[in-house]
Amino acid sequence: MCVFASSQFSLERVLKQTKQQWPETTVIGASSAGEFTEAGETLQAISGWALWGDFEVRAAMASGLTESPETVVTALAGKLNERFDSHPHRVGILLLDAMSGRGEETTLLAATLLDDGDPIRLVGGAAGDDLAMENTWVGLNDRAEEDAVVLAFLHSKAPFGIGVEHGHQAHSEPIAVTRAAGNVVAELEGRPAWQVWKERTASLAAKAGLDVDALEGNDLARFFFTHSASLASGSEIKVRAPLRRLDDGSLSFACGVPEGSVIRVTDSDVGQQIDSARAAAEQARAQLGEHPCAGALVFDCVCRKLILGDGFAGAVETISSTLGGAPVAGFETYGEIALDVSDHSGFHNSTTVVLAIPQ
Amino acid sequence: MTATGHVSHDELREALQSALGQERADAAIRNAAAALSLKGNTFTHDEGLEILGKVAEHDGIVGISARFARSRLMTRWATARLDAVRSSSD
Repeated sequence: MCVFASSQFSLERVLKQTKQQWPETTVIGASSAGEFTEAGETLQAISGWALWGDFEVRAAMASGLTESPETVVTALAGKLNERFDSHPHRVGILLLDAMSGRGEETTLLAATLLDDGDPIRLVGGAAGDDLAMENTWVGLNDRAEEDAVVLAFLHSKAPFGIGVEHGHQAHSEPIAVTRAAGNVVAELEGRPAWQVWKERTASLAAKAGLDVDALEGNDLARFFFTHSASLASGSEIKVRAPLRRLDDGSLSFACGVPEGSVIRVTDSDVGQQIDSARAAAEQARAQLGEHPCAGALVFDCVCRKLILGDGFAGAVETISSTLGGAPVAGFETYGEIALDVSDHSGFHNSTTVVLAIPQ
Repeated sequence: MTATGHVSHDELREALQSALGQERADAAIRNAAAALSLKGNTFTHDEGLEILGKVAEHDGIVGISARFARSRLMTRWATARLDAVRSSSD
């Protein structure tokens, strides 16, 4: 069972109460920035997703991501190496603390260190905190922690379906990352990162009726999520959302952005967001083959609600209807995880990730 | 990836660019190949793995993405070799 709770609630308390109701069930969870099911979307709420049927589930949690994602993932790997001949299909659900700034690193290390010759498939999300951008939590059973990651493997007799899509496009001229360490970009084009970022986004902000110099707190977080950075990857782009502006004018991201990389400013519109939700659901549905979809778990970037507004619930309905009317539940994330067998990267921003469960 | 046990610079770059961006991925492959005195744009699989191994010496996201790419390419190439052996013995 998965529970996703607004930061208005204690995640640990929510987990404990859930576990009390269903003591035999593995419960994983994350703090969130919006909660939804196919019946609707709301804020300051809790959404839940339960899986029942012929599945095997194993889960573990470890903390210390900021210090060493490798140590953390190695600890998980030691607990999650079981395979089931009767249930040959496997997918991992990865939930992590966005504020650790280790999203991509943790995802790639999990796929590397847990690879037993059968490449691992992962989905998941980076926890949220209702755009406060302060503390995000993940949990397992009766415990919740910051700076942590939870990994749950689902083992099934039939294949799972994974879909991921974003609806953003790059706008600006290239911007060189000239000084960075880990997930903190200190300089762009040789000047303080925020100074350059606000210059390059000022016209987009003005179109949205915003004065980029006046943005603070939640408004700044909203602006970052709707006007993110992107890396070029062939004909595609990979979105990288700044999470915070630090006191020295650096920008902090949810994963490493290497020095020497080149970013561009992105934005999106309502139509692109609806189309990308449908595309993610179609990808996931196709991978189920002949099996009907029993339901889906959805990790949706918080930016999608910011762009879609009241239309967000309609986008969730689109996912459900594309999956044949299947029930869905999920949360609004600060980063999404989707890594299939042919992928070389698994951490995303501004996407919809759909995990379709086979009947 | 070629069927003859070779890999191009572009294919190695593609294995890194979705995590690093194509400009940083391109520089990482170019610098690693130069450090290993490997010239040209096409490498044997072993040389390709050496290049990714060299990139994997970097800290943080650059090194981690290279370790992951190396692991996935090793699996993919081993699977392709096994398939080739199986089809030739049929």
